[in-house]
Amino acid sequence: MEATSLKIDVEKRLATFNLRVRMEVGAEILVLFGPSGAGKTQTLNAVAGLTTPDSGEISLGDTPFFRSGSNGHAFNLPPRKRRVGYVFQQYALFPHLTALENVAYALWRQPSARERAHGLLERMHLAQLSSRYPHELSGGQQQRVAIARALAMKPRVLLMDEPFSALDSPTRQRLHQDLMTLQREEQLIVVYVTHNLADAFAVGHRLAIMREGRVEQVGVPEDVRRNPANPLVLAALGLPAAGDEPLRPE
Amino acid sequence: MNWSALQLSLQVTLVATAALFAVGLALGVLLGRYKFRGQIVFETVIFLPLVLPPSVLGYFLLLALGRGSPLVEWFHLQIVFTWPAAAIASAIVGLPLMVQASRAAVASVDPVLENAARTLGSSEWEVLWRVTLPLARRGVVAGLILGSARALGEFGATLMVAGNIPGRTQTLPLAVYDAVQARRYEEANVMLLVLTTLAFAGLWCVRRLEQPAYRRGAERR
Repeated sequence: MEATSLKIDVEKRLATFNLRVRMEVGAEILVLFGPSGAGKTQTLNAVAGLTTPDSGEISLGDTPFFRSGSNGHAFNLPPRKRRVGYVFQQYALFPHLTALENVAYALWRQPSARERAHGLLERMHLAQLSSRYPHELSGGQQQRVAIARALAMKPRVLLMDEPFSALDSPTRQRLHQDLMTLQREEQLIVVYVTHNLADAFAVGHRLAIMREGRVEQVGVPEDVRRNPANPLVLAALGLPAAGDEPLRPE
Repeated sequence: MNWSALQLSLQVTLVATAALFAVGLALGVLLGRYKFRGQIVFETVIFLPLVLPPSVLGYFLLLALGRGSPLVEWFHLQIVFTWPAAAIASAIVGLPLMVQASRAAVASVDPVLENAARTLGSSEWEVLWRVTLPLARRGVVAGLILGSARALGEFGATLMVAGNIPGRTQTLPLAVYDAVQARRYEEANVMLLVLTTLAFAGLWCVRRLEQPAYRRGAERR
């Protein structure tokens, strides 16, 4: 296992709260869990370079993504140079391109783009649907295309924003399995955003509980559940605030 | 049928359309994607030809292109009372329609799709050509057709800045005016038929582009 890790340490003033995130993610699936409006998507956007933090630092191994300077000058690597795979909440597939063309989008300068894209679709069990347009695919299929597209440029980091929230539960379970296999095989750094507790526990190697722009607690899901750091985490997990050992059945 | 007028009209409209495509699309992208200081004033100036009397617009053009203008004084380009002047007048009256349609089309493209393209390694230029414009193409084409149709029908400003010289600057709309004045109604009728047919065909295309096509619903997600 490589020692490369994604370091995030940023602050950004937003309309309703201040985003203040500090964490380090290795080759694992880190779940950002919290209610909507907690700053989860903003955090992903900052890593992808789609939002610029006010201050702080983001880096992947030795590669700096963002670093704020002393006099307002900041180093900010543009999104296209970060090679970070991003699976958006509503898939964000290009509607004017077929599944194959979507996956090949990032590879267009490479001579073997179509073969590689086809290979990725095959891996996602979509080979026979490669000539379909996004609207001709089901939600689960669109999601697979979106993942294949994000993987096309061989990213080290994969960001997923509520990736499976619109899907039925058998489809979710299958995609969760696929994601975990993928992560293990490619040693990907995955940051997975969700407000669904079941999803969080199903895929997360570690859990980061976010509320109003802050990370309240990070840890292995079971530990977080057993030892919530504060009442906010309890509330986020949907557990009663009163009682010392709410989870231990007596 | 006044063939020289028809030929001149097509020539003027073609050049005006090319100018509309380049300038109108650039302005549409600029206004649809970016906010800048003085934007409202800038837009208002572009849209002025829609409401100004054609004679006023024509006079402005005379000032801009005629004697004493930089074009004549510095570059010694005499284009007043030539067909290129007619093309410029036509392009300017068509411009607001092209800008309005392409701006709306560009602005309606989901910014998340453009962001997705950025994370997939696209520069801003690539995002524009591979995502934004392909998705905005219907609106852009509709605006171009509207602008061209308006350019084809241009009369007042053209008369002021290019004159009404048969065989040299007399376009179809001007030839219709002449024919009616001279009571050559048969000649006028033929030109009427041509102009009306072209206008109808253009507007029909625009309506078709606005209709939800078989893939349209999905394009918007």
